[in-house]
Order: sequence, then structure tokens, then C-alpha cells
Amino acid sequence: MSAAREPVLDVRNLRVRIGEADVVDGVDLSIAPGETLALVGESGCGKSLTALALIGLLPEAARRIDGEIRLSGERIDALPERVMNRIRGGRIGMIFQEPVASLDPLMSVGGQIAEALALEGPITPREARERAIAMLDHVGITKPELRVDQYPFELSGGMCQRVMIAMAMIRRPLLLVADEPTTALDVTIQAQILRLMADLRAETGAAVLLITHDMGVVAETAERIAVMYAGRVVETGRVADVFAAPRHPYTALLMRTIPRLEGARKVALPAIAGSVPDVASWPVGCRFAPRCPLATDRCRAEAPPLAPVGAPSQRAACWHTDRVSEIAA
Amino acid sequence: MASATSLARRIAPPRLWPFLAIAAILVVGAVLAPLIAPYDPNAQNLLGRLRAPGTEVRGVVYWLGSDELGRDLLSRLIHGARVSLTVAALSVVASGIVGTVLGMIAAWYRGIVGAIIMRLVDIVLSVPAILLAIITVAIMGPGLVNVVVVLAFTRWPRYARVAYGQTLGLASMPYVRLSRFMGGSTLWVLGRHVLPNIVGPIMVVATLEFGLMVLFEAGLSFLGLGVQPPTPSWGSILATGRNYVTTAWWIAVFPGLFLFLLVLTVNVLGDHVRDVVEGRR
Ligand SMILES: Nc1ncnc2c1ncn2[C@@H]1O[C@H](COP(=O)(O)OP(=O)(O)OP(=O)(O)O)[C@@H](O)[C@H]1O
Ligand code: SF4
Ligand SMILES: [Mg+2]
Repeated sequence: MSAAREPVLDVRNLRVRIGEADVVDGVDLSIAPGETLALVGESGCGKSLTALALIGLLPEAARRIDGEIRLSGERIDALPERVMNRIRGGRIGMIFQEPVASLDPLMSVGGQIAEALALEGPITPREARERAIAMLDHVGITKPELRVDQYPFELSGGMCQRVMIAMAMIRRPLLLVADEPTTALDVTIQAQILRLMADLRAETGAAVLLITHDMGVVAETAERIAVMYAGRVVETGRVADVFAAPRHPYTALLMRTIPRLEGARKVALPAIAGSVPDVASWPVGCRFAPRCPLATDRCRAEAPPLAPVGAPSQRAACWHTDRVSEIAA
Repeated sequence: MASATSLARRIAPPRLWPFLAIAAILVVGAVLAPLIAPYDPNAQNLLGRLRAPGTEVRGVVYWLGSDELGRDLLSRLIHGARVSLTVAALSVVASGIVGTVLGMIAAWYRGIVGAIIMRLVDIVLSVPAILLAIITVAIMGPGLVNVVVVLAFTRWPRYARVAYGQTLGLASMPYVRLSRFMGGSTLWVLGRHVLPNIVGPIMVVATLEFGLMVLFEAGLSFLGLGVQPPTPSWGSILATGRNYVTTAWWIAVFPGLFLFLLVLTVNVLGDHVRDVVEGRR
């Protein structure tokens, strides 16, 4: 493997424990430079905790009990807080779901972007302001000289998210972690924000970890996908391969939830019956068994490993990968 | 500029104008006391002792009467406003700073530091403030500076509680966490993101405390533990007046009236500050 192809992010056997339960249970992820990996799954699957564990921001209740995390080959899972603080916002940029809550209501837009710069190193207010204006312009905010002095309440949710992206990208991170960046926004704005993220990624060559529960978003923006269910990755591979022939029933069912054009109408198909069980009641065997239409006794007794199947990029954790095509609509 | 007028009306609606006027008069009077007071507040005149309001003695008009040493009551009250407002303002600022800083620290670090600070808050709050003040003055001795120190010492927990609660809430806000996790030091994050966001609620406490501080200062001076003679203070004038209520009612009544007006004004304005601050959230 040449240095250029070294993954920006490489995660091995990540485990996060809350109380007695491993809510993230041995997750492996890897993202190449310039690539977007979509981490997908229903609510409560452990997507956010996975992302937070990577950047060392787990909530108090949660602990990372295992796992190796490498950023461009360098171990970052055992660094002191002080060093992590420099990496976050520097080599790793972060965008969260709530753009409005992510901005200080009493600080001007320019002030917040300037803060990201000031935390990097000494900078004159004038220079910070100029760079903030340039960055606002870059993320598609019109009249940046005007906006730079405005406060978050004067901006729409979409604009706030653009400001967040500006804050995250101004230091040209290697990796951008975006946890449901468009969930709080309405559909047309969603598309714009995703396009902006794609443009910035192409321009800077950053790797992106995009968390979403929307398979439509995955299809449009990601090269690779990792589907999570109940704390584990159940299927992963190139988006094109996985979408062409999913090898895990959960992936197949998730794909059926993508709204499709039927005539002139966009119809959302019903979600998967049932919901992710509570951590306390995760079954011993395959965790998807209680909701899986293909489940057999073997599934309920024995947990399937994540193993290569289908296309070369593809891996799935299911005993009956050959029968998944029965579900795919 | 319709929005500017509506903002002005929200910040200072017409029903508050009389109170704003009183506040302005008191503040201007206190600041410019030497220019405004008709006479030297400490000039004694043995021929003009205990004169009723409006009396004229050798060209000196006692608009609000004179005291037992023939000093002009109006002049003393104007100079007294200085003491009242200065002590109240200084002690509000001092206790506000101490309380806010300690409250923010307690909420930020929580754990043992937070526990110690907040237990201290409970303890100080559980002792009647005036009692604590009396004990402290008794130890440190009376005087304007000591009164301020005492009031700061006894009143900071009010601010600490508010600052603590507010900071606790803000600490989990994404923008505060973000700043912290991007390498903002404690001082940086507290100063740039927390403090500006808790100033409103702190101001609410401060205005209400201001009225109380005026009363506390008066109370301490009334008891002889506050500002020392001959410096005029409403509390000490009131104390003198008590000896003459039957013969010269004005000495006690006017400082009482001034105190009442000041505290009423502060409380009305304080309520309004609270409404504005809370309405904004
Ligand atoms: N601070 C916390 N304290 C206790 N449990 C938590 C905490 N955060 C998450 N959990 C639990 O961990 C599990 C995984 O949560 P996580 O937030 O990673 O899910 P998610 O896949 O991001 O879901 P969503 O789509 O709703 O964001 C859930 O069962 C959740 O209840
Ligand atoms: S292992 Fe069995 S239960 Fe689990 S997904 Fe595959 S078929 Fe369904
Ligand atoms: Mg989440």
C-alpha cells in the first residue's frame, strides 16, 4: 500500500460501553483520502457514539473500552486531551445535526469563524475577519461582508449549517465528521448542503464520515457505505455494489425505504416493521433476527461474522446472504 | 425606523417613565451632590436646630427642615444618596463578580470543586444575611469600605446559584462543547461563550439585589455599624431622627421616604429587566 493510499481514518474493533452494554460492539471502519463513507442505520444503532468515540467526544456515560483509531496512520486513541484538542478543529472538522444550537447566539458569525482560526494560532482580528468573509463566500453565503457581522438568529437554518461548514473547513481538515448534517433542514436546503459538502471535499481532498439514516442521501453522496445495526456493522462495501445487490436483509429493507418517484408523486415507503431493540434486550445470536423475514434457528443461536460476499468490496454479516435477493424489491 | 421605536418601547415602556425619572434624579443628585445640595451637609447652625420644613433662619431656607445640629436635612439627604448608591453599587458589583465567577467555576468543574462551592453557598444563604453582616462588621469595624466588603461577602451566593444553574445548562450546548473541544481553554470558553450568555439572568439578580443593598446599608448605618458620622447616610439620619420623632418628625420621615422611593424604583425596574430577559429566551 503506497503512502498516498493510506487511509485517512482507520478504525479497528471499536467498542463503546454504556453501563454493562457494548452499544458499539467491535466496529471497523476505513476511509481513503477524498472518499465519503456513509454510516447508516436506524435511530439507536450507535452511529453517533461511533463517530464521537473516533474524535474522543463520548458523553460522560459512555466509555471506549477497546479499539485502535488511526488518523493518517498515526494512533490517536490514546492521546492526552490537550493534543486531541489540537487535532479536533484542526485535522478533524466536525459538523453536527443542530446547526442553530451549534452556534453561539450572542456571537457574530464572523466571530465564531474567527474563533476557529484563533484557536489554531495567533491571528490579527483584521486577518481573521478577512478570512472569515472569504470562507463565507466560499460556502455560498451571499453578501458575506454583511453576513459576517450578523448573529445566528438573523440566519436561516440552512445558512447556519453553511456557517458550521465554514467553521469546520476553514482549517482544511483531513477528515470531516458530519453527524446527520441535513436532518434538521428542509429537503431543498438538504440537497444544497450536501452538494456544498461534496464540492468542498473534492476541492480539499478531505475524507468524509457522513452519518445519516437516509439511504437517498447515501446514494447521492457516498462512495462507500457501512450499515450499522444494534452496535455492529452488518454490511459494508462500495455504494454501487451494495445498492446493486445488498447481501444483508437489513440493508435490503433499508433500501426499500428510499422514496421513489411514482408517476409525478414522491412516495415514502413504510419503514421497517418494529424498531431497534433496547440495548438491554439485544438477542444472543444475530441481533436482527427478531425483525428479519429470513431468520432461522441458526440465526437466533449464533451471531454471524462480517465476511466477504458478493462484489469484491462487499462484506456482510448474515447466515443467509444468498437469500437476501428475495427481499430486495 | 419602526423597529427602533418598538425596541425602545420594549426596553423602556411609558409606564416605567416615572420610575426612570426618579432613578435618574437620584443618580444625578448623588453624582452631582456638591453642586446640587443647597448647603454644606455638615455645616452646623446652632440657631437653626430642629427647624420644621420650609423654615428660614438668617437667609438659610431649610426646605426639608433641619436636624439637631442645625444642619440642612435636604443637603444631607442629597449627600446621603451618594453613600446609599455608592455602597449599593459597589457591593452589587463585588458580590456579583465573586458569585458569578464561583458559580461558573462550580458548574464547569463540578465534582469536588463544585460541591465545595455550592455547599458554601448553602451555608452562607442559611445564615440570616443581616446577622452575618453585623457579626462581620463587629469584627472588622464599621466604615464604608467594610460595609461593601461585608455585603459582597454575604450576598455572593445569590449570583453563584444563578450562574451555576445557567452555566450547567450552557455547558452541554453544542457551541460551548465545540469551542471547548477545539481547544478553547476554560478561561476562553467561559469568557467568550458562557459569560455573555448568562449576563441577562445575572443582571436580573443584580437589580433586585441593588434594592436590598440600599436597605442593608441603611440598616447597618442605622445600627451605627455602617458609614460613620459626620458622613451623611440615610440610615444614620434615620437613626438620629428616631430620637426626635415626636418633636421633629421630618428627620425620620424624609430619609424613610427617600429609601422607600429608591427601593420601589429599583424593584419595579428590576422586575422589568427580568421580563425583558426572560421574554427574550
Ligand atoms: N449519553 C448517553 N447516555 C446513555 N445512553 C446513551 C447515550 N447516548 C446514546 N446512548 C444509547 O446508545 C445507543 C446508541 O446511540 P447513538 O446516539 O449512537 O445512536 P444513533 O445511531 O446515532 O441514533 P440516532 O439516529 O437517533 O442519532 C442508544 O441505544 C442510546 O440510547
Ligand atoms: S443472520 Fe439470519 S436473522 Fe440475521 S440477518 Fe441474516 S437471515 Fe436475518
Ligand atoms: Mg445520532
